[in-house]
Amino acid sequence: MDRLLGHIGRSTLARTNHLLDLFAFVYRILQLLARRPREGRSMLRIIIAEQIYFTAVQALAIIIPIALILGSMLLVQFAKISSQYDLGKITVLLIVREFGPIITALVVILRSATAVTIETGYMTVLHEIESIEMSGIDPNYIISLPRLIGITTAILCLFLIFDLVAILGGYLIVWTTTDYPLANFLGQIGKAVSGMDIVVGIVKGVCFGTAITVTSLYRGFKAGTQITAIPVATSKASVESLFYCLVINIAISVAFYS
Amino acid sequence: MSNYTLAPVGKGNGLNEIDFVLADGDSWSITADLPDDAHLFMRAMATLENPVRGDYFYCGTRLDFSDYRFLLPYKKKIGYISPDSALIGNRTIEDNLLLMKSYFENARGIDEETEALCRYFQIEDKLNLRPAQLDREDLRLAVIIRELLKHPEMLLLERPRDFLGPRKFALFSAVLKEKTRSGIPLVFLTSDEEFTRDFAGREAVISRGFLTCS
Repeated sequence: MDRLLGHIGRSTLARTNHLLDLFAFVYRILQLLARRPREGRSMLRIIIAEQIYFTAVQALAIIIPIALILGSMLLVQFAKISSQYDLGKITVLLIVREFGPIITALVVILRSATAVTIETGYMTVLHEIESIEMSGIDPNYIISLPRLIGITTAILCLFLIFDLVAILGGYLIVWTTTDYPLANFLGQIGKAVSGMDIVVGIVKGVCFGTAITVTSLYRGFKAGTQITAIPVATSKASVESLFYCLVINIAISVAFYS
Repeated sequence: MSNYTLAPVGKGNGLNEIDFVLADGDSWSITADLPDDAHLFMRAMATLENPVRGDYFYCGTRLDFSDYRFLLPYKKKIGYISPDSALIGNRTIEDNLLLMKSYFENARGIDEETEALCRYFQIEDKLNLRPAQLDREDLRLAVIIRELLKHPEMLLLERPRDFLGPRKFALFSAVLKEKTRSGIPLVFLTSDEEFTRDFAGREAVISRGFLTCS
């Protein structure tokens, strides 16, 4: 019993330590954002643009079909059990407030978080980070900061695209099997979406982007000297990112909607 | 380095309370009973290892190892060429060579000095390639060019003849002689006797973690 309690205690301390490390890392990156040094701005802009392209533009081919499928599935089912009035509200409740953010975050984790962890892991193991330091450049400034800005921006854009495609695309499917007028449907959506939904969407986007970026970068930088540690780090980064996004999602939903 | 102690790595003994002074125009050859200790010494000179004890003074300024950011202004003045030296894999050779210029001057485009060095070392046609696409000799040459472009105040070389064929090594030696004649201090680690004869002014021996200078 003592050993079990000891193990639980040590585990709790280790996880708390890890969370504090992640918060410290966020603080370190945000310090760079606040300082805005003149050096490296053009390089930063290029890397941010690249990250947005990799995370958002290249993800469209996955996000759009998933949004269409999910939107259609939900709307087809709820169209059977709800009236016209309820359908718009349900669409906003499920797609805009909950499924949209979480599924977008999942796609970004599967694509970008894993890539970022692998890239930074390799850079650490192969001494590329040291080479950047030996050039007098802070690796956090050209690796961590642009990825935070790029991934967060990409997530916000993908939220919007997911919601639009899920709602409009889903409606098209429903329209072929029922005779709901588009104007009524869009009117109900418009009434159901509030300013709070937009604020919550932005808050979730920023929080998800930060959680995913910081977790994947942290795991990549901690890969050590062995290349065999990189797959382990990548797996941990993805699972942790997903867990944090789920926790953040429920916390924000409870805070704003309960 | 004063009273400098570093924890052992690999199969080495570490470095125990070593005192080492590098002045302008100095040229030191480092030999060690264990390769890991020699490598550790070179990395310590490049400020890539945190000491357990002791002080590192750079032109009279004591370096603060508590945060890596305090060391960055000094690291960029040190040219360190070793088998570990890497280029950034997801950037082209040109981007790698112009990294400092692009960062500190917010400038893009290759300059005359970079072009001249690339032509001299005959890698000017490889600037649009990524490091993974280069052979080991060209990779090493790119690292050498990058370090020379820093206009370093100190040069650290580990096994300089490794990965370089005789012709390219001769080109590198010529540039190195010019640099040492201009007074840049040089510290190198090599088993090449000819290189040691050509460049060594003094010798430091690391034995069981202790440094002896002659």
